[in-house]
Amino acid sequence: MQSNLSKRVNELLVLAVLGDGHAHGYQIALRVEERTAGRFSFQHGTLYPILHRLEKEGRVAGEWEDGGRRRKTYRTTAAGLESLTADATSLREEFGALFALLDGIDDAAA
Amino acid sequence: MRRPEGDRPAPGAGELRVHPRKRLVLLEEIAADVDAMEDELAARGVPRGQARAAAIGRLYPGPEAARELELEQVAYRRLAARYGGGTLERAERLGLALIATLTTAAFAFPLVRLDVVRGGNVFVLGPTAAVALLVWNTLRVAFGLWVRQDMRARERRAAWRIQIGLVLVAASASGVGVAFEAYATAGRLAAAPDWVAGFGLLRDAMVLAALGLGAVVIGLTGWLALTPSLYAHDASARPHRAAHGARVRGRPTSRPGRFSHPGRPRRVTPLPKGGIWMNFFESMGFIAYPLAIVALFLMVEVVRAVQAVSTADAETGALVSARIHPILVWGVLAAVVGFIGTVVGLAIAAQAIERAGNAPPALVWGGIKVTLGSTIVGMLLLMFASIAWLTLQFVNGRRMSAV
Repeated sequence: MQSNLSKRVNELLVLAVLGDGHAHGYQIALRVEERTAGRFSFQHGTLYPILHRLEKEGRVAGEWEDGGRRRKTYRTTAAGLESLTADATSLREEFGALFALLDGIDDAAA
Repeated sequence: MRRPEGDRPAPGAGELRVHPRKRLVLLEEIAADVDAMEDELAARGVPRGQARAAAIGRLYPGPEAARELELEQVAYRRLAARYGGGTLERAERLGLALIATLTTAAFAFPLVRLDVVRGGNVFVLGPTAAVALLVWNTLRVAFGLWVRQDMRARERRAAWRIQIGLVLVAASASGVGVAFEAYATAGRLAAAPDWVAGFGLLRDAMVLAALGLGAVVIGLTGWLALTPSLYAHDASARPHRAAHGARVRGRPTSRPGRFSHPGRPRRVTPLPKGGIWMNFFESMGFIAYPLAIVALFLMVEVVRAVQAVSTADAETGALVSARIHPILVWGVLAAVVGFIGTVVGLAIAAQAIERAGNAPPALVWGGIKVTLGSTIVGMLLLMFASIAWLTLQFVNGRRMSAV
């Protein structure tokens, strides 16, 4: 459950920051840190397996740039945007249920 | 997701268990991103060293895989190793395999053209076919490893089993031919002592032995030339080998999991596996190739000397002795090359120990033992050359005195 949740959150983070436009892998990592005020960050290269999985599933598209040193940029696809919307909605609902439960505990404690 | 340090092992090695070709691409992507992220963090005012460490900490996989990447990942166009080595290393290995092949062919074809291998000798077919198949197999593996870069572990293992099988076929086929010729020689001499005819048959036996040996040399040289790539790819399939099964050349990392400077070229030479003979040949390192070539030329000289002795008559007999001496020259050269290999190996080992600052005695003596391998081979070749030289001088002397 935990690993599944972590995986879904990681994918959402990547897809969300790619909504700003195409980016290299390191730019995605930096954007995630900046936009979450440092609460979320990719450590130890966890980003690349996620990117390659999303690319394989067709939710992001990667392209190599050949100017000087080769670099790979990523952008979201239509399927990726659709997935982002659906997963965000689903996660909001799940977290809403979780927070409702936690609110109940807080009320009982008070 | 950010987690406290030591909360759980950092991911990385598992995710990197991908096909070697994809792995190459992944490493290239990560390396480019690390450089770019370092530049961007430095532009934001982060000190360059900290920026580098921060980029590596974010983008490289965990400590175990990071160590592997540190050893293997360097700038793509530098000469240092990646999978399969740099461009020059690839050309070097492939070139050596081709040179060995062409050399053997150059030595075998004149023998056929000069009718040394007489028509109807079916035993020539075995080593010849084995040579052709060995060349095919070597080039096939070279293409798969370096051009396509998509040769899977199962295919590589099968290719090397074929290579060894062909080497054994060549050796056994020539051995059968030699035995048959020796049997025919003995039978003919027993019926009617005729030294000239006997030497003719003996010459055929030697030619067959040389062809078989040539095939073996081709097979083993191709094997030696390609195996470093083979094991480098195997290490990619099993990342732990880079940490536990690899001999690392270069400055050791002072802090595990850290990068002194990822741009610094480092070489990884995986330890060979697959039996005592494979380990022995592989442990000689680069000096194995010149030794193999010297051994090949030594055999050529032996065959030429046997031919000269067997065809000598009263007029040319006095000159035959001069045709025998090159055997000794090549034997001495083999010993010298082997000794050079030992000296170079000792120098490299001493340098490594000096850098490390301290080394267990068992490790030092183990290194010395390995470096002596090339001298042993060189001395064995010299011993063979000496015996061949003495024998041919004796036989030639007997023949001349009889004439």
